[in-house]
Amino acid sequence: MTVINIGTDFSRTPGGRLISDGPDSGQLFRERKLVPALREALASDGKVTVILDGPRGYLSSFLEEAFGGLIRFGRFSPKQLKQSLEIVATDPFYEPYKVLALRYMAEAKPAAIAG
Amino acid sequence: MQKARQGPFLRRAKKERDRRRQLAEMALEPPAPEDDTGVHQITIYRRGKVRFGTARERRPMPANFCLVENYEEVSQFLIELRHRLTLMGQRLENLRVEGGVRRKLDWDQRRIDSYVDFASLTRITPSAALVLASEYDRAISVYRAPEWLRAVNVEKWDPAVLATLKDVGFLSLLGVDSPVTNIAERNGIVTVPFLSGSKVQGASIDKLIRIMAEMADSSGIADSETLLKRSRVYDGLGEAIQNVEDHAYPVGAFRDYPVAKKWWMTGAVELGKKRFTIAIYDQGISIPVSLPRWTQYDELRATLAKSFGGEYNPTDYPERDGETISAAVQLGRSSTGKEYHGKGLPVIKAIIDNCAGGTVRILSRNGEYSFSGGQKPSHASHKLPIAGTLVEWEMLL
Repeated sequence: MTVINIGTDFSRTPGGRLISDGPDSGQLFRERKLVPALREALASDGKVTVILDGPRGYLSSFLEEAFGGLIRFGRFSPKQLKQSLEIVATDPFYEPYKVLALRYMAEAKPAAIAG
Repeated sequence: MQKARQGPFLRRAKKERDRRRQLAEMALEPPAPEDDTGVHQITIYRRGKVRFGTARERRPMPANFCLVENYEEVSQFLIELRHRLTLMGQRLENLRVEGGVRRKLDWDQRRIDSYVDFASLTRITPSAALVLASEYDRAISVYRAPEWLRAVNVEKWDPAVLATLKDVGFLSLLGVDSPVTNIAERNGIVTVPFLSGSKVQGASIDKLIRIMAEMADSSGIADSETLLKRSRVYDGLGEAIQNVEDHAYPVGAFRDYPVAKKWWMTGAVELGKKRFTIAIYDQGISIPVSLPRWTQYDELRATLAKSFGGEYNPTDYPERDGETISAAVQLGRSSTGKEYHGKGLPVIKAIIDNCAGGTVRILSRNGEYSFSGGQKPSHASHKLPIAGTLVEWEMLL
């Protein structure tokens, strides 16, 4: 099982949506951390746990790009993510971010065009 | 040959001695009277140097420089200031093209046609000071001209106004003062020098929150960093900056004035009242003008059509900006997650719900939207616009 603690493994101050928007973006997190870990987990029938606790907070654009983007760009199917991705928020402060991340994944459509 | 080279040097040295003597005596001497043409003596502060000069005309600032209490006068002044700084910047560019810019600028330093008179200011709020500073920062960024900006008659400025402008970083922007390194408390208020950027930088938001929390903690407000975190200020500021990145500065939208494509933010803490104020400003196209590019625009248009009995493009109706912004905030809140590249307006508003009390105020073009905890949101549309969008939170933690 792979554990990604965003606060310690990525950034205490997550940024915006795209790499071009600035440092520590959702796109960067997805491409650098999440996608490689998920690929490995799927290959080995393992699981990836993402811990949201720690950072100052999250922008909705970061969460949408990081988690919704997994499906939007056709990298993984909802079924694959259900099997191999777990999002954890132990502190109640981070619970709304978990809800938001799960919602973005549930509502993302493959190859949707950004508006 | 050597003599000829010494001549101007000795003359400059004599002038410098005279200037120092005059400076020492300045407090004792009455100001030089205006002559028939209105020409009067001024003191010019520029890049750490103080010089005497003359000016023909002065443009007084509004006495109360507050965008809440004195909106129309302040916005009128800001429009004029933008125009004035743009003209000066263009003139500087022309001088650069013609050559001899240093000599001509040196001449300009002492004989000024008109200047902005800050001595008429009796009150300035940190948010209004941020907008003011951003205009000068725009001029510096666009025209690459820090050496050309100046302050006049600083010795006559109201001490409280001078302190606010110093604390917010305005004086160091003009080169009158060195950059602010120690943040000091004045009359129970701590103001953080403005931060600016052009990207979504979580580290900058973090810095602002940390400085405010440290100042509050050192004054006995317990655990203010946690309180600020729990109010989700980070998210609200981040959403505002993401909006700037996504919507504020589309290519080809600025024909009248060149823009710096930046955001500016500052914060202040009223220690006795446990009141935290944070403001973020951009000089972009504004919320109403950017709405047609929004993915939820069709829903918004339908909502607005219901209110007004017919469809309209918000871009063309500045007199309805207040209602338009209010509808955009409301629509975002009631949305069931369809927003992708949304505007984050509900998050901006929600900060107040997470506090013990407070107010969020959004000024964008001609519109004003405000929401105070426990009350109904209100909106208004002003006759005059501000350039871009100002979001201000006053939070009681």
